Amino acid sequence: MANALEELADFLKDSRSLVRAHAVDTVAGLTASADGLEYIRAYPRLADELLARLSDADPGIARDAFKAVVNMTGDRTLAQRTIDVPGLFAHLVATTTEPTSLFADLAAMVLSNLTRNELGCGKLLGTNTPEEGQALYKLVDVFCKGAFNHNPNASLNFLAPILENVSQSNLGRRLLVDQERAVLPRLLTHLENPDRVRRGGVAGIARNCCFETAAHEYLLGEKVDILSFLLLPLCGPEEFDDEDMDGMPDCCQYLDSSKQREPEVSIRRHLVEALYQLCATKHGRTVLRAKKVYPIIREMHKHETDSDLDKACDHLVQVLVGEESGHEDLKQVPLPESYTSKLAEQVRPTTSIEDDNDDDAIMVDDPSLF
Amino acid sequence: MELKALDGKQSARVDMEKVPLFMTKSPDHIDPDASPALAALAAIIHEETTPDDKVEYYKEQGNALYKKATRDELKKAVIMYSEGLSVPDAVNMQLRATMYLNRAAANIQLGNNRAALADTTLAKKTDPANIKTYARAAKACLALGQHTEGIQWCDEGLALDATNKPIQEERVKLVKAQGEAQRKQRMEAKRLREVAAQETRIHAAILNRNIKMKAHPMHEEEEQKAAAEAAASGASASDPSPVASIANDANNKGTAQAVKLFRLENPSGVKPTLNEDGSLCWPVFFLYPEYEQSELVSSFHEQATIGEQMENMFPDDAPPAPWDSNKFYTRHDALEVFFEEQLPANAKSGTIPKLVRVSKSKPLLQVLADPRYVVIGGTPTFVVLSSQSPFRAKYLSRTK
Repeated sequence: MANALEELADFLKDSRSLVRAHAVDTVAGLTASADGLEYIRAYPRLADELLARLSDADPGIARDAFKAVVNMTGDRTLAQRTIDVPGLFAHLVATTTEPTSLFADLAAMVLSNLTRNELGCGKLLGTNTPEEGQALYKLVDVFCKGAFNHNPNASLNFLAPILENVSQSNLGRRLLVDQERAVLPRLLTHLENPDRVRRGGVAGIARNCCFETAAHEYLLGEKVDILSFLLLPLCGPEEFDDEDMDGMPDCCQYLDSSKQREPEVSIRRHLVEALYQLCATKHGRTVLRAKKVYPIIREMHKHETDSDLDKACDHLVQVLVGEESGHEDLKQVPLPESYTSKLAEQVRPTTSIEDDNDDDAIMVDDPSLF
Repeated sequence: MELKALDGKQSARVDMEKVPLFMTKSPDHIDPDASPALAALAAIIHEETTPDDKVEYYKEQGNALYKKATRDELKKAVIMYSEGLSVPDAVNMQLRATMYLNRAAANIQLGNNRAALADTTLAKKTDPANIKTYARAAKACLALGQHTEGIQWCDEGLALDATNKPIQEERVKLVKAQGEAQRKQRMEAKRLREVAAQETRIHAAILNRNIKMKAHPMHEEEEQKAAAEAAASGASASDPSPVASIANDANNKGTAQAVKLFRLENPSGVKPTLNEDGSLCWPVFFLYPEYEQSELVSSFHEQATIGEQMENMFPDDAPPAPWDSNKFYTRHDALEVFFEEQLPANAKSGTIPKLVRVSKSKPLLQVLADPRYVVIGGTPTFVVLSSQSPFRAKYLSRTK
């Protein structure tokens, strides 16, 4: 078997394109199964040669290589190894942001997989230094230009999960919430985008950024106006009476019977969690009450089918409607003893946010999909 | 070539050849002995002026005028910039883009936002790196109410420089204005829906009462036109101005199609209203052919009788109406009320309709439901004659 895999590795760098094409195809097949991934883990040379094929002169080969790498990086171990390959991140970022590239979407998917862990995030943020965040901002700019078609060959929707992954790290969040650059206002408009992946990523970003209590004033202020973006997807066709509507964000008023609620449960959950986080500060609670978040959640609650989300709405409503306990920042409230000891037992990662990555890593099962 | 030098008082065309800076040939009319310095200067300068220098000149002229900021001065500034843009053989594209942008700025001040937007588009083509383009375009878009486009301009600009404050500020304004505008639209749409729903309810109430309705002749024409157009485009059209009533609409159960058959209002806009308890109030015309007068009662409740209405309009102790020169119409109990019987469809034009006497003790509703009566343009009409006047007999004999 070892010989066969060595041969395969050799074929990957063969000068004849027909041979390379066949080899890449074979490796792609391996990446689609658990057993196959075992082989790749055992023979690092395969991965190395495959990665080299990403810049193959033949676009068909490069495409298949990309698909294989997407699958490969779905595996934690292989992803970790891939991160360390010199120049790879720069190449992936360049491919994603290049307006004429045919592989922008695929490169974005690879990056999305690679940034699922902290090392990947760190690598992305460190790319194109000296100034940290250059690669990140490049991705943001290209993502937000989607409206007028930065790249006619790509949808660039998978930039959203990349940015969501990045927002899980402290540094990433800090860069996204940067008040000097209008990053969030441009990102948040995508919560109404028809593509599920785009919406989902942005919802995750919004949720994570709401953990930054120091930024609540900025987030709730008119420069970002995060509430409008969080609430609109949660509104349905129900009409509100004048009293309820008084103070509600403009975009939520007078919605007619054609308005649909956000259909994805995970996205609704992220939005409700974001609202809940905004309630951590007194300022946040005041603004949310004034902007009539309660009537909107009340209506949503009536139509909510998911039980977890049902409970989350309950919690949110409790805070909005309940009496002020006198605590400014609910996160500073000291926990009872029973909780602190339990928490000490759990090992938490360094980020302060639960790793909410229920979503599977992106896999390309059917190469014919592209 | 002539250079236009505009000062505050007049727009005099100055022969460029006389302006030392812009002479293209060595001036032989300057006597080197009389003014040697000028001659020397002219000789040097005319060899070194490039087209871009000329553009620069116009830019500076324009900028000076722009600073003065009055409407007149701004208009002149626009002219200056336009002149600069029409200088042939200029090669400095950044300067050219600046000219577009400056002209756009002046136009924005003047309220010519469409022209300004066009200039920003040209500026972007000429020099995409000029960051001023984007905020300026956004400003024009905001003034024009083109919010989506404005936000796109901002995002494009922010992709070049996300820290640019003017662009950020314009974006915030645009997003806010967009929210407000869309909210207003939705509010108006809701209002129209409610008006339409109310109209549907009124239509239903009228049909339920078996009252025959016909469109006002003016609206009838419009409807016939519309029906003809609809037929031409293949859509199914309802008969032009048929008389609608439940008896006629044997095939249509619902009021939906019936609704299309008549318009509720007359050309002046008055129409019947539906009260909370489901009763109708009608605008009613009373005609006094003896004096060629008419009177509109804006709200006649269907349960009120014509007699009561006559009492209201002609109270016992009131002076006669100003048109009632013979004082025949002072006593309400002497007044007789009639309606014109609906003419059959095949009646010859010019046929005078027969007058049917109305019982003054009947409520309006019953009168309207009379099978011989048709309400035209949503406004019931009655003829009033006085039993005290000889005119009555004459008028009634027209149709015998």
